[in-house]
Amino acid sequence: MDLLQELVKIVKDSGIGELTVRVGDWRVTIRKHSLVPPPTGAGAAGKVEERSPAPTVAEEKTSRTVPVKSGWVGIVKRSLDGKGLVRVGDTVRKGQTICWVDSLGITNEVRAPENGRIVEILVEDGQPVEYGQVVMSLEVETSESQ
Amino acid sequence: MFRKILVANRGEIAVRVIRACQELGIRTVAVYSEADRDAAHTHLADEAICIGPPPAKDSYLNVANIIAAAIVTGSEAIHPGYGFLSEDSRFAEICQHYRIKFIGPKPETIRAMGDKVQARQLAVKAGVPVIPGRDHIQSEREATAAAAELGYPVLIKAAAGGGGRGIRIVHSETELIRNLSLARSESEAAFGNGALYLEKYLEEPRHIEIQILADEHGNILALGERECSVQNVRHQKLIEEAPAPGLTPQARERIARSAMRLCAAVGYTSAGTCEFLVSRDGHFYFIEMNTRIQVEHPVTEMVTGIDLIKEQIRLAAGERLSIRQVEMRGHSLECRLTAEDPDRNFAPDSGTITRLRLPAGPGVRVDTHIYEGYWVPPFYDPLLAKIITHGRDRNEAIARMRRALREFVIEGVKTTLPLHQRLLEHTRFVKGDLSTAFLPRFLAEEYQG
Repeated sequence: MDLLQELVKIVKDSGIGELTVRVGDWRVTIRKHSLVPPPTGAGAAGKVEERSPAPTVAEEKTSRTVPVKSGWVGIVKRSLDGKGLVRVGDTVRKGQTICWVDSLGITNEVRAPENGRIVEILVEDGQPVEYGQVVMSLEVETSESQ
Repeated sequence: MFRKILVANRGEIAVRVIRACQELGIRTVAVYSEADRDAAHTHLADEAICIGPPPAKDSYLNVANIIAAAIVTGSEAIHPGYGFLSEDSRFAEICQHYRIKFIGPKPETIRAMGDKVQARQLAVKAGVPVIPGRDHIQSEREATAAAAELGYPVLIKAAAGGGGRGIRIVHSETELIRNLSLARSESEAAFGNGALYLEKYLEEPRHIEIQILADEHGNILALGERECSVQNVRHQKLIEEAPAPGLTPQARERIARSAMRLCAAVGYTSAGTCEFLVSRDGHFYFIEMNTRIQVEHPVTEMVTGIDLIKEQIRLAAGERLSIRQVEMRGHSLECRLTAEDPDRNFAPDSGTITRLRLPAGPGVRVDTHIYEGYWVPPFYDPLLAKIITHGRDRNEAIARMRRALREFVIEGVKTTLPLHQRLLEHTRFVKGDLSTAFLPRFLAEEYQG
């Protein structure tokens, strides 16, 4: 927690808008909230941004990366009969099937262990996987207000 | 010949099989549990696949993951080593179903020889002597008549039993009568069946086994015997040797012929071992067959100069047995070094090996998977290393073993090394005066006397 407070202070005192620190599976993102909503979408593309000088609220948004592992040795199926394909950025719910592992003709479901957002897909369709192999990474957010 | 073999085992035997494959120019796939990520076999193989969490039932016995690993890696055959799935006829059948060659005998042979009663019947049919016994003993009259015929001492066993439960040794008719009803009620309580089995009790027998190689074209070869009498009460072998000291050439020949006859009768293929008990008066009796490669196979390799694992792989590939005659040379001993504490009734130990120095020099071979810094996991067989020596004769093999055991340095886990060092100095051992009673008596003298 001391480290977290330290990081919040760094963000507050500096000109930066967002800071992400990643240690192993843990990732913390600290973002300044300004009164002016940040530019989004195509409209913001190519524009030189002007930073709002004074943040009014500081909120810590912590998130951790949860690895999703295969419980079988087999072949990965990213979708089943053209359905169920998930992509990076997709939000998934706990228990949702996010891919399949075909092992000896049995199609095993790999489910999201928690609610979260897919940040990384580490396997291709048709790729062999071993037991315990990480197939996807899920960003699970927890937020605390200061 | 196979291009790729999956080794469905761990420890020293996985390393041994991988080495044989490498010499044959066959690519290897290791399978490992999460506890064996840094194991020697995992690193030595060309490919490695994690098949499950540490407990053996979820990894090295996880048939689905092992078969799937063979399929995804394109392995044409599976070598099961010893233990784990090596004598599982269902596993051999599943391999067959997926068109993966199981390196071992046919599933039906594994099943037949794995059933002790059936194996005994097959031996009798093949004219191989078995320990005399009488089954379906119901009354006292039947029991006394049977025991008189077998000759005292006899063992009273529950017909439905197993695992040594409910076995009693009786030395006279009075003792038999006294123990009979008790044995019957015990058997009734334990197995729901009071039927008893009487068997001749062999006092201080020797455990002698015959190594067999058989191809898929009907050729069978016996590669001599191994003396494996130095066992503890749980039938764990500590020291094995080849040839068996003091066995006459005639006796050796007779036992080997019996083993070959049995293998021919069951249509045996691959490497296998027929185990016999040899009584003090020189009679031998078949007890069981191990339908796989055995831990102690190196002593046979040392005296015959034949690589049994490579032969086993060649036979599985359908090749004909190329060896016609076996020439025995010198004498070989093997000490099984385990992570067990003989001071605590062979309680297994686990931990990190902090210091290790392996013996070497003329006539010394060490088959092992351990290294300095290796963590001995508590989940599996405690075998750490097999120290094998070869000499022109038994005395030289013993001298080399004593030297090898002195050179061996291992720290971090409790091992049987000091026990082996003492055993190799024991007068009876040096004389070759061995029986299955040797080790229990030695331990009793050491720990109670």
